[in-house]
Amino acid sequence: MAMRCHEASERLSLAADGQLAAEELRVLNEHIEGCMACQRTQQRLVSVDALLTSPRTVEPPASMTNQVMDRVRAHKRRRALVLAWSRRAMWLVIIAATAALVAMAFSSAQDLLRSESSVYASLVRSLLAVIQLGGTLARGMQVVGSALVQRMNLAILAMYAALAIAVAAVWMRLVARGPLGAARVRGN
Amino acid sequence: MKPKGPLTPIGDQPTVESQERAWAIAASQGDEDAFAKLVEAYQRPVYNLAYRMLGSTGEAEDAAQETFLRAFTRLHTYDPGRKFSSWILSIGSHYCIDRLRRRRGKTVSMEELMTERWLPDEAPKPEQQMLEGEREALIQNVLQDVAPQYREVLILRYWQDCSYEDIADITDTSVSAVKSRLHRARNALGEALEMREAEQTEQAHQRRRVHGNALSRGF
Repeated sequence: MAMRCHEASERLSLAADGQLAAEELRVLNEHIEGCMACQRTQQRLVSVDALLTSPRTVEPPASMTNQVMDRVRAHKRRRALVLAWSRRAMWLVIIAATAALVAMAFSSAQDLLRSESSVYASLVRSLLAVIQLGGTLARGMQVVGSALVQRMNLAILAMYAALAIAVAAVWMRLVARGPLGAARVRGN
Repeated sequence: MKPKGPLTPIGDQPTVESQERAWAIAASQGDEDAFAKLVEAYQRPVYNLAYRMLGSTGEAEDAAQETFLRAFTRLHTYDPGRKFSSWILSIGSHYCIDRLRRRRGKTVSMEELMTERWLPDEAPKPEQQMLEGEREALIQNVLQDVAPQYREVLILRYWQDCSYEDIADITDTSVSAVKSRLHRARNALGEALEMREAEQTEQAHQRRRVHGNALSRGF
């Protein structure tokens, strides 16, 4: 049975790993006996196998585990620091946004003071609304803050969404032109 | 990320593998001691892999540490269905190959070459008489002569005693690709070995000639 040299060469490698059946070995040997090139390949593989079989292993330094664990802890500390700072930055954004909101509410209230007669009622209502919203916002942000460790980007996104909704709601109530504000004024 | 159900089915013998899986899962949930146990268990194979891939103990130490640190930061990606040994060796060998790729651009100083490489100072002897130290040095040299991808499969086969399936898992290829790569790797290493031997013979001749001339000049 004819066997190509390339195939024989690949099978020699399999034979070195003990991956050939007796019959396959017999066919391989048959080919090699009549092929000088494959005899050379065989010689080469035998010397490679002799050189690499049961090779020496080296001992890692005794301090390896400690050093790795030191680096692991340093990595954890670094990560915690980054998280703490990003949390701080988030609070800064929240405070700034709340301040802007309050300022906006006051200017709206002042507008109402000038233009309408029932100014007192509407001012008190709007202030109450702002305080209420601020509290809800702060509680929401606390939840968001603890979830931050897991999903920071999502939390920031949710925060912006909550802010946008709050701004819209406050705006609608204070200006009293939207359906919500108008309906309540008339109903009361 | 909690494991689904118990780690080992009731009545199942706790094997080394399931123990390692349990450690890996505990470590991914923040258990530092569990991770330290994994480092302890795998420092030898990872360090040896790096030493044979990179060629020096200094680099091997750094690479082994880096491998474990990478493993730590990627613990959440570890699939408990996979052998932990395959996972960690895969991280290690990828790291070494990356490092070799980065090194290719840099030039190696002569001093480094002198300390990293074994320089023969004696005439070659028949293989069976070769001293253990010389054999070791020869192995290191010929390993560095072949391409990293070949070196990788040879190390996994001979040093880590991996099966074809394990090698395929570690190197991210198929079993048939492993077979042919191992075949080409053996041939490449065989050629490197022949070149080294020819070089040594040549050097020995030259030395003899120089030595002979020195003697004839009366030194």
